[in-house]
Amino acid sequence: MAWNSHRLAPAPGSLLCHLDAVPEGECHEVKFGANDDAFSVIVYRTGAEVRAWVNNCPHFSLPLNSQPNEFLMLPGSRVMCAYHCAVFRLTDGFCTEGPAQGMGLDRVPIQVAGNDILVGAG
Amino acid sequence: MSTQTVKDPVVQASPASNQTGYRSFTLGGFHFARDEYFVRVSWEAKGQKMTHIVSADAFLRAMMRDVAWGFFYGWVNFDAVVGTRNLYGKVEMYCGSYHPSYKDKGLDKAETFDTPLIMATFKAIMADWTNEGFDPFAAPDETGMTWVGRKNGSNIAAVERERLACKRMPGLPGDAELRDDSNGFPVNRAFADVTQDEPVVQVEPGFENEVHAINLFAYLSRSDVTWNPSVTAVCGRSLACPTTEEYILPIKHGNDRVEWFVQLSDEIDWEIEDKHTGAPRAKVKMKPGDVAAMPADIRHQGYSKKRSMLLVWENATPGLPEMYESGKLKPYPVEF
Repeated sequence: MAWNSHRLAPAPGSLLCHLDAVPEGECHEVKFGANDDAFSVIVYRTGAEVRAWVNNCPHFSLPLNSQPNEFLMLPGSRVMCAYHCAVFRLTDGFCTEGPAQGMGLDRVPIQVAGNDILVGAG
Repeated sequence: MSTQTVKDPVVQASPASNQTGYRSFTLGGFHFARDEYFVRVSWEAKGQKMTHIVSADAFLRAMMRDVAWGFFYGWVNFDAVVGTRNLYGKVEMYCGSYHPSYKDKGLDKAETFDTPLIMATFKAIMADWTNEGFDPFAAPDETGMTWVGRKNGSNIAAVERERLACKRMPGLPGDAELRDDSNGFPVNRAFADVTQDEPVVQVEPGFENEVHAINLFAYLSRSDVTWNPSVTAVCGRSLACPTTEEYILPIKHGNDRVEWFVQLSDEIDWEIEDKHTGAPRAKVKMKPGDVAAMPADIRHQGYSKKRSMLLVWENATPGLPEMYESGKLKPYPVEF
């Protein structure tokens, strides 16, 4: 299922967040919608590189964080799902360890314009 | 921003014992050692050393589930004394904290760890203590007795096996594969009579990618593990996790939410206890077609005298544990 098939997925050109809202080497959560059905995106920045992933672990279809905007970061640009310990590389979304091994996070295309991180096309 | 960065975990392990070949391990205030037959878990309470002894095969079967399930939902009790509680970002390990005889005398111990550290320690224990030929996921009738005795090789492939999961359903393009002889899933000896026909799906033009069906009995007949549900259908927060069961569920699972069971074949006897004290609550015999809702305030352990098929239906909605603990939701889904 494509990431943008979620009914609350943002349209291309939508503002995800500002670049300076994402601390170096950390994840920043952006939510579209307010309730439990919200569409959640993880924005990760290292240096000039910014990536965005759908915040949905392919193991149990849960967000990777159990508390708002609180992520379990591991050395080497990796994040561990707080629920059942699947470990993902934030550089390519691939699960390297744990119950979602061999699967990956869905990438959200982005473009950076000045201090704005926007949803890209495609 | 409250991101927590955890250092790469360092597992504390002893050199291999000259006597048995096994290493012992330390995790915070807990010490784990094994010999030819037994695992001994030790901790300090009230200035004295406490030791709890478990048969090594039972311990390995229980720890295998905790590792493979990523500490699962709520409490994974290895037995009435030892266990873990998933705090979703951290994990509590305890000895006696949910056993009144220990708890009431202050002889229990509970300690909370960063999840990567306790996971790395448990994986190291499994790798060192599982001998060649012993598969902690297999039924006793299907695996060897090589868990007995001094260290004799290892079975890394078995202890690193991951839980099968799908994004929507197995067999869909880009999703988990259906099980077959060709991908290493022969029909289990107990299910030789299960028909392997797949459903015929006829779809109106334009809906070709909207409808999918599998033969769930055929899929389960090829399960190579016991007491290890695989995610087989995902619909929002609703997860269908069928599994095959034989012998004893190696853990007592303490729910932090209601969990539904549908018995698809054969029988399972369930022993239901109070989640916090272990006091007996109920005994349930489930036969084919029976449905049970395991309340959010119990722990359960199942006994299956012959390999059986069970559908576990999970509600993965985040925030459920807090809703049950606060009393916003009652621990059972229906009132009679």
